[in-house]
Order: sequence, then C-alpha cells, then structure tokens
Amino acid sequence: MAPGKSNSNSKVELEEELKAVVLADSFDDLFQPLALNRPRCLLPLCNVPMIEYTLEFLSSSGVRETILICKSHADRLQAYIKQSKWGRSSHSSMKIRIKVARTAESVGDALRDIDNDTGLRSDFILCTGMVVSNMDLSKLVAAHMANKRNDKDHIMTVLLQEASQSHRLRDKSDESVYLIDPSSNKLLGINSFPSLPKPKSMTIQTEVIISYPEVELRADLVDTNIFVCSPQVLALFTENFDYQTMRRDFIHGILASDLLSSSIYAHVLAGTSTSAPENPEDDGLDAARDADVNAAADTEFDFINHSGYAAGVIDTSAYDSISRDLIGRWAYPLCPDSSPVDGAVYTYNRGCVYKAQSVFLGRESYVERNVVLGPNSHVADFARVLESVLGAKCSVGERSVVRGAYLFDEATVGKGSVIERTIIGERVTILDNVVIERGCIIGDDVTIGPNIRIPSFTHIARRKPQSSNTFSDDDLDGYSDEEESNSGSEGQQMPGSNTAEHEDHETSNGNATVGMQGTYSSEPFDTHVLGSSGIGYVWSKYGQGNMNNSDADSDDYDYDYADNEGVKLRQLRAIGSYFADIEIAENELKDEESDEHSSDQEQEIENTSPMQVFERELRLTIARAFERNHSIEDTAFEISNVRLSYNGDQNDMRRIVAQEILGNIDLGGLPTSAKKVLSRWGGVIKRCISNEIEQVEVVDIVERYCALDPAVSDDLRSRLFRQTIPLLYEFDIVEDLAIIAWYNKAVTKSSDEVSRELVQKIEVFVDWLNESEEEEDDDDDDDNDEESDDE
Amino acid sequence: MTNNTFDIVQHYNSLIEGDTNISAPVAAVGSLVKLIEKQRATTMLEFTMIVRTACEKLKEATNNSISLSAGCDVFMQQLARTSHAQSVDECREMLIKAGSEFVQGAGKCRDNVAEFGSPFVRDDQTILIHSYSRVIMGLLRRAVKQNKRFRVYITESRPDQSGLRAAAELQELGIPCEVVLDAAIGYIMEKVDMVLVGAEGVVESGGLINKIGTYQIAIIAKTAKKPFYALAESFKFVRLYPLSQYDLPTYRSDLLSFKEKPGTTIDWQTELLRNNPMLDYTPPEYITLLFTDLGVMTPSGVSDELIKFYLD
Amino acid sequence: METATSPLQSALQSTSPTLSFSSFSRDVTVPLENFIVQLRRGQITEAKDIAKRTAVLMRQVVANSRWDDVLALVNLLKFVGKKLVAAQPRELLIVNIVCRIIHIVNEETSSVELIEDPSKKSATPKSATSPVKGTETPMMGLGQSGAFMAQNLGEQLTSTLKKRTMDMFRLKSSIIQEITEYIEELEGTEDDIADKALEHIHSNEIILTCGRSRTVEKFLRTAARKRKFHVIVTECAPMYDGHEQAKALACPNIEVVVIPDSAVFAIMSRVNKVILGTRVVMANGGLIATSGTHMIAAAARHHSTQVVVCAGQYKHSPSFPFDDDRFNTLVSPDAVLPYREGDLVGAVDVAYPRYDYVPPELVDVLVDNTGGHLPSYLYRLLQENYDSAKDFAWTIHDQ
Repeated sequence: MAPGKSNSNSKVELEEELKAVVLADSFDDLFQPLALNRPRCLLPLCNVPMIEYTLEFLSSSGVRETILICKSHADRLQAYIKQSKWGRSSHSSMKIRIKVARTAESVGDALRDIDNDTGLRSDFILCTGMVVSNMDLSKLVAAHMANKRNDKDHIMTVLLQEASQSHRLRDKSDESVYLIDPSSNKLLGINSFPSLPKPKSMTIQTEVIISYPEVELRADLVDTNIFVCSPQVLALFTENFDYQTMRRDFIHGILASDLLSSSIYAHVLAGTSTSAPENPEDDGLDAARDADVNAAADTEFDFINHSGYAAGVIDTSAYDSISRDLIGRWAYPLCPDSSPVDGAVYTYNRGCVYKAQSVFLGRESYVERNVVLGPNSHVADFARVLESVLGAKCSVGERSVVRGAYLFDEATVGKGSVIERTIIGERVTILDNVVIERGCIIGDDVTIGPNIRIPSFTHIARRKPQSSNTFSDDDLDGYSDEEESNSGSEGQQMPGSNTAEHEDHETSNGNATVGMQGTYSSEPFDTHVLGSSGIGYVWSKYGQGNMNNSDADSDDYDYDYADNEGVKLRQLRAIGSYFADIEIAENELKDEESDEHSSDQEQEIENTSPMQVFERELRLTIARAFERNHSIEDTAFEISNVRLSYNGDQNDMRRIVAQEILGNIDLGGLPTSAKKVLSRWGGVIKRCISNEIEQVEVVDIVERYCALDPAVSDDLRSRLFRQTIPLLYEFDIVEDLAIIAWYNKAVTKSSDEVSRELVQKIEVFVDWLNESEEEEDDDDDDDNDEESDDE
Repeated sequence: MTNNTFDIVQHYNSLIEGDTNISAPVAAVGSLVKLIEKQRATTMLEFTMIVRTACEKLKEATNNSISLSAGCDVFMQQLARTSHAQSVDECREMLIKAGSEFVQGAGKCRDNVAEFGSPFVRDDQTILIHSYSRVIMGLLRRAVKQNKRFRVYITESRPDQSGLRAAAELQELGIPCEVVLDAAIGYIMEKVDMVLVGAEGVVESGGLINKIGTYQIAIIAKTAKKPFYALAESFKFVRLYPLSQYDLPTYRSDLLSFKEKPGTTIDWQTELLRNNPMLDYTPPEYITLLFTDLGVMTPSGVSDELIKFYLD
Repeated sequence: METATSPLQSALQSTSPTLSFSSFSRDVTVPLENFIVQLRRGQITEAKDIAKRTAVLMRQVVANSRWDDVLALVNLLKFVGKKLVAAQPRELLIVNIVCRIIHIVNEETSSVELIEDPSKKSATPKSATSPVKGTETPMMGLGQSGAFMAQNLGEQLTSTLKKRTMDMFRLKSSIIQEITEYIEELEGTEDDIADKALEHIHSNEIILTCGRSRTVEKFLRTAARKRKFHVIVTECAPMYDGHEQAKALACPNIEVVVIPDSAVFAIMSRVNKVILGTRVVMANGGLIATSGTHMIAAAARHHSTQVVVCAGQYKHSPSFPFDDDRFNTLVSPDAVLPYREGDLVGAVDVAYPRYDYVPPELVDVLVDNTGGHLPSYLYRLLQENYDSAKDFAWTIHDQ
C-alpha cells in the first residue's frame, strides 16, 4: 500500500522465514562482577541493554524468528523480552523464542541442544547476544544461499570486520591470521595464537598452497561473532560432541580436517571507500549495496548505506571500543541520538556529546568529547567528564574527573575523585577523593571511599566471590544449575596464585559462602582496599576465573590462565589495558629478579605505563615551555595540571622537572650556560618543592643527574655538579641547610648510592655555607661567582 | 467633554508606579477600561469621542508614547469592532470585559515569548543584551531553568544606566554577566554569539523602536554577522511606518539641533542629558528574527500580523 | 478560563496524555509501527518518500480511527505526529506534513461548517464578542485577529457537529478527499517545479548544481527539451553523489561536467546560475541542504551569481533554525576515514555532517510547485499552508 514498503517486502520474499539463533549466554566470566545480577546481554551499552542492539540488527535484517539461548538469569531475560517492544505483537514481525539451556557449558553444548529440539531445517544466522551491527544481513544470507549452489559443501559464512593491527576493536590477547582464497572468499584456515609470547611462526598446510593458485594471508581481520550457518553446522556439532567453541573447535576443526569436506566462506566487511560504486566487487554485500542504490534511485539525497559495521562485545575491552564506536557514530544509524532502539531521547551536541532530558551540568563543569549523559544525570561544578557514558540519574561531584569510564544507572561519584577507564555498576557510590585507576570493574551496589586509591584492574563486588567451582558463568543465582554445572568450567573467582595480596582472605571466606548463591555475606567488607566507608569485597585482580581451568573461556585458545602469561592475556581483554603494559612488564621481569613479591611485581607492571605516559607528557610540557619561553608561573601551572590529570606523583614530577631543566644546560658553555638556565628556569623547580625534605631530594636528584645521566659526558660530570649546586643556592631554589643536610648524609652513605667523587667536589662550597651561616653573611653572591670562575 | 472627575493620566501613572512589571500598553488599556467604567456617555459617538480624547491625553502626558500608543491603538480597534453592538452599555460591557482580560493575560504574553525564544538560547553561548527589558529577563530566566549555561554581556545603556539593573537581576539568577560600555559594543561583538534586545514598539515595516543604542548594536551585529533577535509582545506592535530616525513620534526638533545655548558658559553635561534622544529606530534589515507571543517571525511577518489585526 | 499553563504546554497537553497506541485500530498501528521502525533504521531517507508515507499514514489515521469531533481528530494526528518525530527527531519533513494535514483538517472543517450553516457565518465574527474557550493570548491582542485556531474552532464546532453524525461522516470523507488531493499534489511536485524551468534557464547558460537531487534533475531535463546549456556538477565528496547526478543529467542538450568540490570557487566566475536542491527550507528561507551547499552559495554570492533553489512546498518547514546541530545529521564517518585504520580511528574524532545550513541571505529565488518566491516571502506561504505557530509548537517538545 505504501510505496516505500516494497523494499522490505522484497527482502522478505528473498528468503522465506529467515531465522536466527542468538547465544544470549557468553559461557565465560569476562564481565564479572557486573553480570552477577543479570545476564550479560542486559548490561547497558551506551545506556541501552546490549541485547537490544542484537535484536534490532536481526529484525532489520528481515529475520522472522529468533531463538534466544540462555542459561544464567534466564528468567530475567524472559521478563525483559516480555516487557520490551519485542513482546508487543504489533511492533515487530520478528518472533522471539527463548530457550533455556540449563546444562550447556559452552557454545557447542548450546548448539547441540538446539539441534536436538528445534530442528532448524533452513539456513540461519548465528550470533551472540551482544552483537552491534548496522548491516542488513539479508543480502549476505542471500549470497550465502546463492553460493551454496556453486559449492555444495558450503556450510557457513563468517562475517569479518577489517581492522588494522593497532585497531581498538581488536582483541589484544589474540593474533589471528586468516587464509582466504581471494577469488571465492573461501576460508582456507585460521591461525590464532595468544599474543603472548609473541608468536614467531605459523604453519600453513601445504595443500592449501598447492591447491590454490592464490592465497590471501590476512592479519587485519576481526571476528564479528556473526555467522550464517547451514543446518549442517548443528549436525556437525552434534556429531563432534567435543566441539566447544565456534572458532577454535569448530572452524578450526572443519578447516583442518581431511575427513569433513565442508567449506566455510568468509565475508569481509570493508568500508565503503574501498569499493567505489564504479567497480563493484563480485561479492554479496556490494551487490546488495548496488541493489540499494537502484532501489533508492528516487532519492533526493541518498544516504550511503554504510553496510559496514559489525562487532561483538566479547570482553570489557571490546565493550569500551564499541561504546566509542557508537558514540563516534561509526555504526550510524546506531548511535545514542538516533538509535533504532527504544530508550531515552538524546540530543546531539558538538563534539559528540549526547544529552538526554533533564541533564544538569554545573556552570563550571567541563563536559567535552564523546560523552553520553543519561536522563537526569548531574555533573557538578569543576567536574570534568570526558569520553564517558553516564547512565540515568548518575551524578559526578565537584572537581571530580571521569575519563573513559562507563557509569551505569544511578552511580554517584563524590567530590574530588578521579575515575579512569573503568566500568562502574548500578547504584555504586564512590565517595570523596577516591582514585580508581584504569581497568577496574565495580559491581552493582558497591560503596568505595573516601580517600582511597583503587589500584588498576581491581574487581570489586557487593557479594563475596565464590570459591566453589560449582557455579558457571554469570550464573551466581542460577542455583538450580549448580549441580549440573561442570566443575571444570567457569567457576567464580578462585583466587589466583598471583593475587597473593588477597589470597588468604578470599580462600578462608570463600568456603563460607559456598552454595549460598553468592548471597550477601556477613563478613566484614574489605575496607582496607575500599576505604573506611567501603561496602563490598575485592575480587581477584584482573577478574580471573578459575585459574586452573583450561576450558574456562569461550576463547579459542588452549593456553590456560594459571601462569603469568595467561593472567596478562586476560588483562589485555579488560577495559583500559594497553599492549604496552605487557611489553613493559616483560622488560621489567628481565630487569628485576624475582626477589620481590609477585603481587608487588604486578603493581609495578600496572603503574609503569601511566607513569611513563605522565613522564612523557611532563617532559613535553617542559620542552614546550622552553621552546615558547613561557613564564615561570605558566610553566608551573601547566606542570601541575599535567600531574593532576595523569595522577602523577609529586616526587616523580620533581625529579622529571629537575632533570629536564638540567638537561637544557649547554654542557659546552659551562659555567655561564648553567647560570643562564637556572636563573631563568630555577623557579619552576622551586615551585615543585614544598618543604625542606624535598629540598634535600632536589639536591639528590641533581646529584643523580650529574652522576648518571647518559647525556653528560664523564669528564663534565663533576664540573656540572660543582657549579650547579651553588647556583641552586644562589637562585634560592634550595636553602643552604638543605645542601648541608644532603652533604652530611651523602658523606656517610655507601658509594653505590652516591658518587663519592661528586660529594667531594662540593666540600668547599658546603664548608663555605657552614661558615656563612654562622656569620650570617650576605654578600655571598660574589663569592659564588668567584668559585665557579675558578675552574 | 469629559464631565467626570476621573484623571486618566494620574491613573496611568499610578499603575506604572504600582507595578514594576506592567508595561506601558497594558497600563494604557487598564486606564482606558477604568475610564469607560466611570463615564456615562449615552451615545455611541460621545462614547467614542471620550475614549479618543483620553488616548490623546495619555499620549501627550507621557514621554514614552510609543508603546503606550500601541495599547491605545489596540483599544481603539477593539472599540471599532464592538461598535456594531446594540447599545452603548452593551458596547461598554464588552469592552470592559475584553480589556480586563487583555490586562490579565498580558503577563502571559511574556511567558509565551520566552517559550518561543528559549530554544534559540543554547548551552555554552555568549549573549549580548541591551538595556533592561522584562521580556528578555523572562527568556533568560526560562533558559536558566532549562539548565542551559550561558554568559551575558549587558550594555550599560546610558543615560539611565538601566543595564546595571539588568546585571543585578541576572547576577541573582546565577548567570555570569559583565556590563560593557555602550561605546565598547564593537569591541566585544566578536565574542558574542547572539544579540537580544527588547522593544518599545515594533513598527509596520518590521523594524523596531527601542532604547537608544539599539540601532548601533544592530549595525555592528550585522557587520560581525551575528544574529540579532528582538523580543516583543504582540501588543507592542504599533501602526507606524518610520522611514528615518526622525519619523518617530518622540522626535523633538530641539534634540541635538545646534540651537543657540543660553548663557555664556555652557554646562555640557546637562546639555547632553537634555538634548539627547531616548529612543532610536532599527530598520528591519538589521533584525534577524523577532520572538513574539504569536511565534517566531521574520520582520516581514510583523506587518502581516498588523494588517490582519487592523484590517479585520 | 485562563489557566496557568503556557500555550505550548497546553498545546502539548491537548494531545492528551490518555492517548496511547490502544486508541487506534490495528489498521493504523501496524503501518505506524512499521513506519516508525523504518524511520529509525534510516531505511527511508528520500525526502519525498518520507513526506508521502507520512501523509498516507495521516490519511489512515483519519479514515480508520474513531473520532467524534475535530478536536479529537487533531489530537490523534498530533499524537501520531509526535510518535513519528520521536522516531526521527531530526527529520523536519515529518513535522511539515503533519502540520499541513492538521491545517487541511481545520480548513476543511471550517468550510463544511460554513456550508452547513451559513447563518452561523455572521454569528461567529472574528471578534472577541463571544469569548472563545482556550484562547491563549488575551482575546484583544493581535494573535486573535486570525481567530481560526484549531482549538477554538474545534470547540465551537463540537457542540453543533456532535449531534449530527451525518455531518461528521461527510466531514470525514471530505477530509480524506482533501488529503488524497494533497498526496497527489506531493506526487506531482517535481513536475510542477519543472514546469517553471524555462523561466529560469536560458540557452547556452552555464549552470552549476551540487550533489544528487531528483527535483533539480527533472528541472534541468525539462529545460533541456527546449534549450541547450551546460551543467557543472560538483561531485560532493565523500559520497560522490554528484557522479550519479551527472549520469542522470547527461542528454543531448545538456553538456555535463563534473568538478571536485574544491574547484567551486574557481569555476564560479564562469557560471551564470546556480541551481540547487535542498532537504528542507526553514521558515526564514534558510536551507538545510547537502553539505557543500553553503560553500557554493557563498561563492555564488561573491561572484553575484544568482542562486535558485528548487524545493517542493512540502519541504517548507514552519520551524526556525535555532540550532545548527539539531537539524543536521551526522552519518558514519567511515567514508571520510575508513574504520579499519586502527591508528587513526582511536586517535582522531571524525565527523561527517550530512547537511549544511545555508542562510537565507545567500538564496536568491526559491522555486516551489506554485512558482518562484523570495526567501523573505516564505512566511506568507507558511501562513497559507500551516496554522499559526501554536499548532506546531508540539514539535519542539524535546527541547
């Protein structure tokens, strides 16, 4: 009746009754403890439950029936679907069937279940419940069906997204190389390795090379967790009952097997720019796009059908990237302000700031760049919110900084707190002056603070972690499943060997809560970590699951997480992790031998990177100040800004500032150059000092610099030192007492702590200082100059 | 002719003084309503004459005759419409009813202007306003309520320095504001995102009569390509078509006219105050949009509204 | 009588909160939900398509829902309109159509009323003699002059019409007929505009246009039947829909040249006329048109080249451009920077705004299906086609 409808009608005719299978359970615990109270797919992504994106994607692809397979919190999911628009008959032509797979332990089990009961007889789409995509998959399904006529063994098409090595969407713990026959897009092999240790080689079956004239090896592809499957896929899963996961077991198994002659095809999602309309590639999606162009020939202004975005939220790192993609509108029309998903209405503001209704921003607040503010959220004066998502009724107190963080509904942040690259659950209260370092995950209803620093990658929940292995996945209150659950699977949070800090604590308490479905424990809260008013318990770091469990994740690797490597790989999958962390960690490990406690080591590892960033930033700032000849005040202000925004340490700052300034002394032009630099810039160092002890430290820093810095040639070391120290005094950067104090201390120290040679060099000066102090003599300037001129 | 003792001018002044929020046209209509309540005319002609003379009297008695005359015009038009009534008493009754409703509803006009105008105020803007205007205050008040954050420059607005009053009021609302010299408008225009002015009267061309200084702000805003919005309740639309500054009813030939000054030593300060105009006329081409209680309109839309009203 | 609520609020409330999907029959809800879903997914993007679908949906609402008086009908229409606007808040066309349909309903009602009861014509003078319920400005004020406001009228008529179901039936069918006529008018918009082509295009002229526009295509092709001229098309990166336009325009009488967007200023000195399409014409005569249009218009102004904008009346929006961002659409920046470029995607913010706002000063002539107008004349057209400001006040509800 309506002209525009022809579009959707033709789509439906194309494949009669397209079906989809959605794995609403993830069979891993990468989101714990956030998913304690609800299934992971109901966690909000840009303030919309993730399952909505998936259902919307399927529905807009013309899927008529969706089977949701869930295990943990099945009732919550059921209730959700019932009250959502999907439950409304008039809304959608897509039927949703929920299937509870109580015994499933893995993707494989779930698919076998489906095979047993539903009897899917036609091709279907398989994806997880956490897929975000703006594609119209019906075209791909059509291409899949068409290809089946050419290749009878074609059982599956894998959807892959192009993303270069450093792309944020990539799973940093995984290196995958895909072997593709470019003429047919047939997938010839997948080589996946954990990214640690760095893989040195990979094997390619010779027959692949022999039988295909051309083979593409691509390392720039990311699995989207979307598959188009023929019914045979289910049968194959049933036949091979040891298949657990899709990629590692199934695809790998099929491709490597000589017996199974099935073939799998890959479809690579490329951006529009790779295929200009002039030369459409012979490929389902491009054909689809052309068809679109034709269909929309009437268009006054034709939107490009960006058929290009698909990604799965597989871990918290992906959660972070996909949130950013949604905010940055990469998945248009899926974006906060024009989301096809029911939810609050957001308005777009410059710089990708999305505001829902009744958002209150303090007059002096700073909300900029890639921020989503949920309904009734509140940002107080002087608070900074950047690159973050605030849920409904969230509030951020005065002078707090929220950067790269995801606050679920009703979370509140007190005054002067800093939250960085963290996911914070519903109704969490963060009190004043709390610093939450990156990578933390805070479960619902926790209270933290005041005045505490939560080290990075800490997981905190309102409930005690379960030490029993009888729980699986996000399934703490799925008590009916306990017994059936495989004890080998994703048990909750056995403290790992590496988390010695909390180990005793957790094991001893863990037993108390076995079988209590993670009910709220009466144990005292971990206030030593959470602060005096803290409510909640620390889970193991990195949120490790059962460390001894090789099958723990739907990951596709065989390595386990028991060793250090595994822990790091796991950390790589967490929000806020950098690959650099691990590389640095590797180096550190080489440097320091293992006399230190392992958890301390980790502490080191985690702190190094932000520290380095801070240091680099600070050095740049000072260099800029020199270059542009800033005033002392401006420079000092900028330095302290850098320190605040990177949470840098005072001592580090002092050290770096002093080093940078000393580094600007032209060693060839001593002593005048030293005098010039210190008279101009000494004030900056002075501003980093607040008490006598720190003055002494500055002297120490200068000594270290003169003695050790590689930029200083050996013959100049003592000269530089001898001339710098009096200048420090002359320009009032340190007081005489500090120099004397340092000297007295240095003389008594062993020679590997200070350079004896250097200490001696200022003996004369110190003596003079001692004298002048007694005499209270004022005309010391001349003396100083004379001293330096002596050389 | 007016055989009653009712002094309309006095009543008008008491209305203005009694309520700082009342605008001149509303007070005029209020006074006229009072007048017809008091008088006892028997013929339609007499009735009309009474009202007309009262209007004249009002215009003469006040210096701010422009917006006042708008009120008088509205009342006269109403009178013309009701003139088909059977008797003077019926006519009077209807007029009183309509008039008092007009007076009561006047405050709401201001809210409506604010309602239509407030979407134009956006987060993080810098606004320049001129002088003191109740309708601007209403708009900004609403914008504050909508959690918008903005800054306001206010002109000092010599000679009565009404900008200071506006600044005090805005400060109270928690809006960051600065008062700028009238001479510094060119200086700050670059920092301004939009200009808001009120109006004494909006004329048929869509131009606007307002506190002295408005014209120059409009010219600078146009040069700097900043939007210049005028806010006016519809009862400030007047039936005038000025072609130059000197066509305004408030024009006095002795203003700035190089006439001989009395005495040998001249007190320039008093001369300045005495000899300068209080209002100027801003031609429509300088006005981006008008926010009125009838909706947002372009200057050309104003004459349409006026024609519709007075030609009915 | 006068309540404390402001007119906009009362206008909002008058689309009474008690309305819900259940107030409609399935004949309305199914296509409505369908349309909403498609709007949200961005599946319908073509201006005319959206306009037509909205109008058809409105006709369905009129035909298939229960309403006893005009006021109730207007409320139903507003309710549906609000739903559609919420589905795609940046789509101004929906507002245009809904307002237009409401206007049609009001017009039709008054004409039926006048025919039915000629005696009443004199009895309802446009004056304040009979105090009308629901007046928003003081009845003496200016806004009263054009006293045909929906509510007033609706309420006046309710009393009389309610009793006469026959009349309601007749009214319903005449409203439906009017809407059908309007839909037909929509269909023919491009042709009507193209009929004016010969007034604007002369032989051997060099004409510059931008991006893909069906209206402009038809306009130029119609002129090409009689005259020979050159057309320069800017390619409109990164969408390159200028290429498509060039292909569509190519015919014996038109010599088409495609130029990169950056060459616009350089070539403008040779151009005789700029002919543009647009998404929406705002109430002040400004345009929301494909990005790149502002640059072309500015270049044309610099060279004093005439800018002609072809846009059907359904594109005339009653709202004013108070916020550039609210009327723009930012689509996926993938075309600007491919998503796979991992180093950059994380490091830079990329934006791809779909539209430009072109201020009315840069537009010389607006050609619609009734003829050419100055941008400053637009307010008159709006007054003819839409009811007073208060009637579309509901559209800014999300402010």
